[in-house]
Amino acid sequence: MRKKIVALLLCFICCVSVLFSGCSEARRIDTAAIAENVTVDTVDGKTVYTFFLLSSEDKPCGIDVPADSFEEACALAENRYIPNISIARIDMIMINEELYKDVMKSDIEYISTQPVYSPNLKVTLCDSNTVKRMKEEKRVPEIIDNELMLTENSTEKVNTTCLSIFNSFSESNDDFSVAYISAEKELKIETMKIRL
Amino acid sequence: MQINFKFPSNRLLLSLFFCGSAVILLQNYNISDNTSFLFNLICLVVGLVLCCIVFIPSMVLKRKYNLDFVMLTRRKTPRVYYLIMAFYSAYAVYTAEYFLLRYTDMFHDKYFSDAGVNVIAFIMIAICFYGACRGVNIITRFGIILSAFALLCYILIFSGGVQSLDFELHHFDFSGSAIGFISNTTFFLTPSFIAVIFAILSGYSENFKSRQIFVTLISLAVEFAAFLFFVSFALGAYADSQSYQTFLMSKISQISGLSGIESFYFALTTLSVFMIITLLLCCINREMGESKTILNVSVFSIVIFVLHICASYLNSVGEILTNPMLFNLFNIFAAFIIPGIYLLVFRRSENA
Repeated sequence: MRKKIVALLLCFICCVSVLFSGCSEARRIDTAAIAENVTVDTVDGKTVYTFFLLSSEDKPCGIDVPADSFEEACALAENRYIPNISIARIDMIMINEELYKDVMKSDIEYISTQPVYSPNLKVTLCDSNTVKRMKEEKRVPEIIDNELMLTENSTEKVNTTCLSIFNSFSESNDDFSVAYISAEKELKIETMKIRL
Repeated sequence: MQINFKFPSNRLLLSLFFCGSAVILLQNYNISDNTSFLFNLICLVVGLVLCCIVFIPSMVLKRKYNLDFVMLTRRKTPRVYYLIMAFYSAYAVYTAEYFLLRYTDMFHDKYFSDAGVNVIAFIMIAICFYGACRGVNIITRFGIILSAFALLCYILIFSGGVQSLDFELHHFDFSGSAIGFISNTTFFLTPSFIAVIFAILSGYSENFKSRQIFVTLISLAVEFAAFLFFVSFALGAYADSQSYQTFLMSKISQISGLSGIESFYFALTTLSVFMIITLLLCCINREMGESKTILNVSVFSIVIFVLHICASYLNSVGEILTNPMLFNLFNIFAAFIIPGIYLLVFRRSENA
């Protein structure tokens, strides 16, 4: 008798779990727009955040979102430009060197407060040519990733992640090194000292 | 109140170690951010020494007289037995709420903000209800497997966090204040709730040795120290930007590009809260008399669930149920003061 009661209760729990499992607002993976990389550049004097989405096309799929901050760009992307956007898989943010003083600190502070972003999210500076190449060639993020890995393993300390950059400007008043991607002739990574 | 089966005492203490881990896993701005790692280490040592002191009455009872507190109360004060047990049942409900509310908050905050916290609580309580109906023997056996899983998770989290350690930016300095010392020590005293569970359930165990309690507390100290170290030297100032710093610690862990170790953190936290609530329901069942297990456990499961609903809608209720000072006071009363008084009276009557 006791076993029957327990079995009935277990069945009830399973049914309730299925009912309350919250699948009603789930998004299908084939309709989700998964953002992998973001670039920050200026277009006609305005700051533009370009979200590069995961796609099977030969050319990169980048969608421009004019905004003054990363927080605003994500909100606009979700509400207006890219309805099914998924931002949890953003791997790298590249900021144009001309803009870093305006947006870098506030964007990193915003990212640090959001549990959806990984603290290991890569943040680098770049020139305008790099952004241009990101929009034209699909292999660019992979090349940059490999180069960044080599840079991290070098003897000089270079801050490449959101976590290390945040700690560097929060805990120290000195200049610190970040990765700088230049694409004048070929893609290469240098280090650049900045202070936020 | 005869106990027909006994299991080894180290099994119970292993399960209690697993329960104590929930304190650091669900840590949420409980440690002052103006205090350094070395200062926190001292607070940790003081807090766990106090936990050790809180264990003394139940340890003496078990070691010298082979009794748990329930047996002692029934023997010495049969008239007020149910009154005392009512207090301990209220304590068990409070402790269950203390961890359940933190767990559902962490789940909602970090993983799935659209999930209803009451649904999560319902599912957790339902599973714990089943566990408590199965009994202490089976749950503590399950605790061995969970402890092995916990060890695996810690190896993954800590070894994955090694690459993020930064000794250039973060130093071994010593900074803190008196208020920080009191606040942090209060937090590190929180694992003393396992002394209450031990006081009630130790009657099921045999082959108890006092050093098992010291080993349990030292293991907890090592675990807490490891998390403090990694949060200070791998996360640094970043730890103050989000809640549940231990979750953040698991998020930065990467092993050869393999990430997603926060899922192990989530599993570990879920299982430790499951173990706590199940053992507390077993305590209630022991206090109420084990002849009507399903009735005892179901009534108090409903009480815990209803209280959780109240806490989720009324902030004042939630604040009372998750107040660390109040929780520690409860722990000291339940584990040290009341059993201590009984022990003194019992020893006097034995000597007379």
